[in-house]
Amino acid sequence: MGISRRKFLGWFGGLSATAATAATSAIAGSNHHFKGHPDTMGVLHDINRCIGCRKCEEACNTVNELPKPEKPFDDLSVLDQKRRTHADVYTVVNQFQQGKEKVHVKKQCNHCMEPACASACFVKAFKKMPNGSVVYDESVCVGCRYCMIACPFNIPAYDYDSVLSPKVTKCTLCHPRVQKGLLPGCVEACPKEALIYGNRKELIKIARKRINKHPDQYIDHIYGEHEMGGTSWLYISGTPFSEIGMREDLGVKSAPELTSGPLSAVPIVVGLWPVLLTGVYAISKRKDKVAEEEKAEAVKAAENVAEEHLKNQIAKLKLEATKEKEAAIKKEVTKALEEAAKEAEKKAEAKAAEAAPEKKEDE
Amino acid sequence: MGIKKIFQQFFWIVSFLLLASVICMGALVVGNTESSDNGRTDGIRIQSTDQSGKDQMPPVMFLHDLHTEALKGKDCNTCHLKSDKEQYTFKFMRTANFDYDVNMTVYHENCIGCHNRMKAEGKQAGPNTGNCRACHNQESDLASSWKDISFDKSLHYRHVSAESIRPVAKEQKDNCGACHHEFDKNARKTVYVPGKEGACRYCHLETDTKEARSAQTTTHESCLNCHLSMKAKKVIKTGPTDCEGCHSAEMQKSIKVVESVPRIQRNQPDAVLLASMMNKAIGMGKEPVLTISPVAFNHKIHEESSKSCQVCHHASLEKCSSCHTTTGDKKGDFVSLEKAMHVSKDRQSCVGCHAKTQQKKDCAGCHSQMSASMRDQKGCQQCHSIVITDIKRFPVKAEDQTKLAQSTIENRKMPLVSYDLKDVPEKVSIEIMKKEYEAAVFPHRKIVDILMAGLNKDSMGKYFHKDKNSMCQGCHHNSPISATPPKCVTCHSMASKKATDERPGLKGAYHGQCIGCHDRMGIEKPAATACIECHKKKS
Repeated sequence: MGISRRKFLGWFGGLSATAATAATSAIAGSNHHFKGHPDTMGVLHDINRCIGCRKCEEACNTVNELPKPEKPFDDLSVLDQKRRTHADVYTVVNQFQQGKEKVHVKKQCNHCMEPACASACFVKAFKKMPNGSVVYDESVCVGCRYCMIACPFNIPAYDYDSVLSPKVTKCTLCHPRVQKGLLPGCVEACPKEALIYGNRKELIKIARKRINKHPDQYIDHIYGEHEMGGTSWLYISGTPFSEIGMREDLGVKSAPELTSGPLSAVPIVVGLWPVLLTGVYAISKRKDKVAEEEKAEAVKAAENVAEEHLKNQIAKLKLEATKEKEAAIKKEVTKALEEAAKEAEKKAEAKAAEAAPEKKEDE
Repeated sequence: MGIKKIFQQFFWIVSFLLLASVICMGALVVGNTESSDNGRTDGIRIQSTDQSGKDQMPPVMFLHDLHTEALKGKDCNTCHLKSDKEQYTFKFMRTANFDYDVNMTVYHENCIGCHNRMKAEGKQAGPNTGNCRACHNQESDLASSWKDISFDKSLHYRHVSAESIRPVAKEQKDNCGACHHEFDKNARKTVYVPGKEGACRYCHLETDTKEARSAQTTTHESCLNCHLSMKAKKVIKTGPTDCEGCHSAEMQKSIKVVESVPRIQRNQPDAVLLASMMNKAIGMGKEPVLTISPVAFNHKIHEESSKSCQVCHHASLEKCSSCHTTTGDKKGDFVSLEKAMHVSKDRQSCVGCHAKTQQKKDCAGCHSQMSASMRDQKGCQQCHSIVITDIKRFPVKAEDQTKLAQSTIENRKMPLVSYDLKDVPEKVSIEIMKKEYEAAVFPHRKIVDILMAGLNKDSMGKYFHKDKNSMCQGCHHNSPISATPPKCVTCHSMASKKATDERPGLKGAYHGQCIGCHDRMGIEKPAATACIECHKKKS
């Protein structure tokens, strides 16, 4: 036909690349809400059902081939202390005394729908898989441990004992096992089905059903349905979550959603700032220059004016001097003339006197 | 000398008044209800609120019994004033609350005044002038073991039978009038009306109203004044006059309990026919139409099993339908009769109270695993049991209805729940975990026997488990009652798989049922985490 296979693939590739770029930039640049991968899986932990047998801890240790702990898993005295996850402990069960009752809560990575660790990681060592697992790629990790600070549940642990190739460790939601069609180790081991693995949406329905069936036995809240934008692990309990070591102050926004606003401003700031600052610099520089020029001009003009004024003054003075001189000369001349005239008159009179008799005689 | 004595007496009076004033605070005073084993019961927090919103000193935690102990031998009038009725008003040095400033002055003048005088006399005294923080400190957070006291049937009977409060008036046969009264709005006084007694709470509510003091004020003023007057009369058996006497758990335990209390007589019926829809039609002069089967309500047996009338009659001793009409009315807070009977979260409703009863250890093993709502056809018929085939024969007259209810109750057969030995295997061996453990041997018959014994202990259990083998449904649930129920594995799959519905897998089902039941019934051994108690290790 008209289109060859190669051509079609070429176009298709080009198209998807464009689409991918567009999509990425759209998410990064906006407050877009990511509803999670469709059909993402999760685990529902029914805290009311947990008896604190530590079978999940044991299974986790086995399936992840972690070093055996000092105290065996059937030693329940470890429950007397509050524990957290460590480099070689991906999950712990903690015990809380509630009146006469003991409440047990399993703790591990909650596999957030939009993980804070992944959003904090600048080398993309963490990745949320479509099946719900948040997995870690050791090969790209630079060991900055931003993920540990970012995690609101204090889960990622660091392999401090490993000198040459330390890594960040945490529950993988048994990603390798799940891919093989197996259940996560802890879920499979739980004798009470206090942990069940399934489609997250389905688990929420099951959790709701349990709460509705026994409203007196459960708090009307599914922890993890909305916390931090939702997590793959969900919890229901008869004890208020804040009393069994679970944070209730996290809000319902995911970490990326919280940071995307300020972070989306980064490219703008990085791109515009130099231009803006240079512009400001140039403008202020030019302003200085113009001011300088104007100043010089003004000085010149002022000088000119002064000079002219001086000239005028001088001219005026000169003129006046001249006038005075002329007047003086005139005066002198006049005076001289007058004197001369007087003299002449006198002379004439004298002459006349001398000649008068003669004239009279003539008359 | 005489003057000196008078002065001394005056000082004492004032100091007592100080004490009493703390109690008196009435609305200002809030008892700390937090319970703890070793806290005090007599802490009264004095916290007057200023409307101006100015900064205030922290509240004062006044220890009442500490002061009565220190002022032993003195009268209550040291701190409390008598109202015109020669009865103490348990406010401190006043008979009513005043404005913030006046209240504050009353406290400061009288408390500190008494402390100062005590000190001047060389006696041990409380904080004096200038030591503001000695009283106004964070002691208001003092641990409290204050406990509400319930005036139960036993305590009621002890008052009914007490010789010391027999009425003087001859027309009154019994003690009821000593406490029970009605408020005559026109005469603005309380009068005793025989046959109209009700619980205090019906009128004396949480806070003061126009017609009645708050329940707190009433109980303290009425009970305490009477107890004090008995004490003054040197009556040996009288009630407590200190905080601890009523409000400490220990003292409450020491209150004598009358085991078999005679029935309270207040013209109540033995049996009631609950047929509101039909009665509504009859009341309107119409032909009744058969809707749901009527209930023969055994009022007498419910009296016996309830702590007090108030358990059901929460607002008055009238019949339920006088406030809770079939359609709902303002009088009944728009709670219709159907809701009043069936709301499962409400203790005052039939269903709610029965559900609450199911939470006791004998019942909880099975019932805590069942849904809270019990709305199935069979559930309805348990109570709505009177089958009326011909509506024309439905009794119209009230007394005939009572007779029908009475005869229905009398004909109720509540035999001991039992079973045929052949239907109940003695032991069940669970062998699914053969690879890792020995088979778990389940002592089936022993467990059935224990549950049966618990069931046969009370009439409610017997009544609601009339159906043979209905108790088996605790474990063999969600399938028809049968001597040969399906095996667990029929519905609960063995393969570990993704959860698609609420139904657990086999492992979860077994452990959920066994451990859940043990937990609810308070059976501590074997512990939930002691695997090898049930699953013996393979040798």
